[in-house]
This record gives sequence, structure tokens and C-alpha cells, in this order.
Amino acid sequence: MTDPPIPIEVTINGRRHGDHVPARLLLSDFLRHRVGLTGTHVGCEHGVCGACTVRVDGRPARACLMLAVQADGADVQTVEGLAAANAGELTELQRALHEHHGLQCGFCTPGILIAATDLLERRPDPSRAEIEQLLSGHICRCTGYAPIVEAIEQAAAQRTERAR
Amino acid sequence: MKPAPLSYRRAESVEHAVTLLGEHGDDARVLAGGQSLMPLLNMRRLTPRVLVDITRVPGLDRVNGPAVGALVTQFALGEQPRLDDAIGECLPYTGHYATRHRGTIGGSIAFGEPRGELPLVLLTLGGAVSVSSVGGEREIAAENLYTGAYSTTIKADELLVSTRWPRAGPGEGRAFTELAQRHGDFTLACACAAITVSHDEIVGARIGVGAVADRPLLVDGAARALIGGPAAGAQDVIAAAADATAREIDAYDDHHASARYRRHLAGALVADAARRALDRARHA
Repeated sequence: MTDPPIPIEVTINGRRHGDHVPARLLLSDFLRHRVGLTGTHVGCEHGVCGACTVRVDGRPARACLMLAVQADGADVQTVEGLAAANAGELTELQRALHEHHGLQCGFCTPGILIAATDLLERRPDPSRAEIEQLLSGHICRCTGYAPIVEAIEQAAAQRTERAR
Repeated sequence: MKPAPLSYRRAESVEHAVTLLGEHGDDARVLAGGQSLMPLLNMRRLTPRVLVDITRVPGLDRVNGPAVGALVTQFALGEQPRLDDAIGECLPYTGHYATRHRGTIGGSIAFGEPRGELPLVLLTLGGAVSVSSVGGEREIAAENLYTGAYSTTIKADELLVSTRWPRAGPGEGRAFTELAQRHGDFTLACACAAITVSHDEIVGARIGVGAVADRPLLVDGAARALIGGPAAGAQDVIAAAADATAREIDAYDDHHASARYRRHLAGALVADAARRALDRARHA
């Protein structure tokens, strides 16, 4: 039993996208193949690697563990939306990852950027343990994680500094 | 992989959801946060014909004292003030930062993952769930909920709407602990303890272990070893509870750990949880 394609309307990085999608289409595939936003990477497709993490209505979500129809009416932010929401400039966190060599191949980076951006908004001064726990949900095979932890700590410190 | 073709229904209310479940029965699965269900759909280990999405059903995302609505997320529960110690300690182990923002309490309980943290805590605290169907609502005690791995006494036409987590009574302390190879991954073993102290004596104990069988277990031998013991200087009864745990459970071998190691680990985790629960009970 399958239904005809279902009409959806999703706001992605501030732009509205209307489409008709099969019920089983994953949000990750919708973003990449229908909308063309290939910054959201697909690694394991079962929620473990974290590469496809986006924000849906302001909360982090594995795009591979959501159906596109579930995002109907929602506000989705992908990695492309980070700089776009920052007047086209890289965010502090993006710059910090660059400075600390927090990426090599970059496959895991979009998911880490989204999750860490979310963490820093909720916990302006996260402990090292909190950062490490966050990264337990994101598999990186290049860096050994230490430079990513340092980058997130630097971005947190810059944020705190600015808030003073 | 991608889910097999399926039909999607968005429930607008509890009544609507249970009507859909009544219509489709075993052909349907309830979709809440999807953090356990969606991987199985992607891997086609489950191929339901109909998904009943309850994520937009109003009213199920509230916490009201010990009653936690089915759609309260793991992250949201963790943000509650005056959170129970055992619940507060188990939530950071439940999945990862991003999955906790979507994963729901009702989903964790109804899914029945044998290695799940929340099912173990619900069982150890003596909690219960409320389920709704077209026929009405009923309550199922956590002790009668799990019948095996991913298998519960919730019927195909019933929807879990709420979970109940009894508050600690006077003189009661609780704790949770676990070990996993990577933080947030499936646990090798986890333990939860609820201990009550009165007049410097342990007068009540519930000890649970998870991930050592096809469902979370209460270890009666460990509880018996503790009850009647002294509240201060309880090393001997705690060691006896750990030994009873290792003896009583029938753990399994897999490529992560041997059954022997799992039994040892479960005992050690019970000792750790019991020690901390007792410490809290003495100061409760």
C-alpha cells in the first residue's frame, strides 16, 4: 500500500521549498537530491555517524532519521545556512575549526558544525566533558577529535568574551 | 538504505491515532521521535505498511509531576527542575546530543530495547505506562510490560500516551550507572538502584540491571542481600549484592563482551549504583 506523492512545504535556510514527495523519502535525501543542498552529508543512514545532522525548528535532528513529510511546515537549517545567517561570513565556530585544523576530509564537519552551534546557543560555556559527549555522536576518522574540541572551546570563549 | 514503500498518516489527536491503529492493527507502527524506529525502517528490518506519526498530537509533550507524556523528549526531560537522581543520571547515556532532542520518553519505553536505559529505570522505580485504544485507557505496571526483546504487552491497537515515574519516598535514594564502549552507544551493562533507609538500617531496596538479558531485570537476590543491612559501613552487604547479581543473571556472549565479563560488570555496576543510592538515602 503506497500513497501518491504528498505535498509538503519546508523552509530551508530561510527559503521556502514546495514539493511532492513519497512518504518514505528521507529528509536527508530530500535536502540533497530534491533541493540540491549537498552540504548535509549522508554516512551511515541509521543515526550513528552524525554527518547528516541538521536543525529542524531550532533543534538538532539526524536528517536520515526523519521523513521529508515530517518536515512539512518546519524550519530547517543546514550547514549552508550557518554562514548565510551570518551575513555570508563564516561563523566563529567555522573559523575556529579552520584555525585548529578541526577537519581534514570534511565529511563529518557539517553535522559537527550544526550540533556544536546548537550546543553553544544552549550552553554558552560548555565543559570539556560536555563537548566530548557531544562529539561522541559524530564519527570523525581524520582528526582524532582533539582539534575539534579545541575549536569548540575557542568559539565558546569568543562568544563569552563578546557577551561581556 | 531507504525505507520500503509505506503509507504515512499524521495523527491529529489521540483519538485519531488510536482509530488509525484500530484500523491497521499489526500493519501499522507508531512513529514518535523515530530515533529507534527509523534506523530499522532504513535497514528494512521492519517494513510496516502504515506509519502513524504522532509527533504533532497535542498534549502528549507535558510533564506533570511523576507523569511524563509520551512525546516529552529525552532532552526536555533532562531540563526539568528537581529531576529524579536515577532519571537524571540515565538520560545523558540515552543516545547522543542530537538524538535526545527528538527521541521521546514514550518511544524509549514502548520500543523495548533490552539495552535501553529508560526501560531499566522505569522498572527499578516501580513505574507504569498508560495506554489508550478505541476501547479506553488502561495502565500497565513496568513489571508486566516487557515480554522479550522489543516486545511488550502493549497491543497493536493501543497507543502509549503517558509514563509514570514514582517520586522517591522519605529516606529513599536512587542512582544509575552504565558502561558503553563509546558514550551514547548501546551499553554493555547498566544498573539502577533505589534504596530506602530508616533508623540507620536499609529497609527497602530495588536493584535492576539492563543489557544482560532480553529485557531489563530486577535482581531480587541483590535486594535481599541489602535489606536489613546497616546504612553506614555497608561495604559487606553491597559486595554481597554484587555477588548475587553476578550469580543470578544469565548473561550472553557476543563480539563486544563475554557472558562472564558481563556478569562481572553487572555486579560491579550494581555495587556502584547501590553505594551512591545508599549515600543519597542517608542524606534524604
